[in-house]
Amino acid sequence: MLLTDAGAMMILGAAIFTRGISYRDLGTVVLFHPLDVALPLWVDSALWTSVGVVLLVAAPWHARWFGRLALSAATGLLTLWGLLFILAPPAQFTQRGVIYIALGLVTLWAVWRGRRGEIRVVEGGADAGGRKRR
Amino acid sequence: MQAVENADDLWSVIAVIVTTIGGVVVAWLTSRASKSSAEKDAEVEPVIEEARKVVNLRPAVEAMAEQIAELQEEMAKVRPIAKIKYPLALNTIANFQAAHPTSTVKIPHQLKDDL
Repeated sequence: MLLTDAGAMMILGAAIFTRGISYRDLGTVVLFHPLDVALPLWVDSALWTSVGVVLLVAAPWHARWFGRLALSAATGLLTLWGLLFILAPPAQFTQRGVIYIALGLVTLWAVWRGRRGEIRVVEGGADAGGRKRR
Repeated sequence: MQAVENADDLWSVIAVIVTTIGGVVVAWLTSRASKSSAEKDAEVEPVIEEARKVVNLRPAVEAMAEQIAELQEEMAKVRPIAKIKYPLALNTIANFQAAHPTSTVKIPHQLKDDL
């Protein structure tokens, strides 16, 4: 299962969920993101946490429509969040925004690339005409 | 001053629209990619399974080929005996029996059948 999109969904789900609950105790962190500034923090927290939970829950059914929807929501959220750093001070976009955008695009690329099947060759199999597998 | 604020607001609105479109496009592309990836997986799975079976049969086939080679080697040794020496031996026994019809030398029944 982890060789499919479910693996990406679980990794993203855990990361996004963690980011969502991080709003509970921000400490001395200064928020620059336009949505963090404009919206109450609990809304941002709910947004990230819910997408994270949905990803984790939908991972086993990654090939079904709701699995696809969850993954699309995650990449959409990451890319949108990154792009919105354009409205923050320029350094914020180049320091943080690009990372969110890259994460969204890398996930899109990984899903587009798809799973590459693996054929296990037993010892002395066809790969080396009877030689040992490396 | 008002004009600058208006320009800032306009820039913000455009930026929000563009970024939203960007996010939606990435989400839509992800959905399409995920769908085609799942379909490809379903199509390719039986082929991979078949290839895996064939590849894993190779050692058995190679072991049989080795056995066949050993048998051929053994056959090469036995062939001159069966084709030349054995008929000659039978012929010699037959000649011996013709020359000595009263001989009490016992000839095994396996040979007698071939005489």
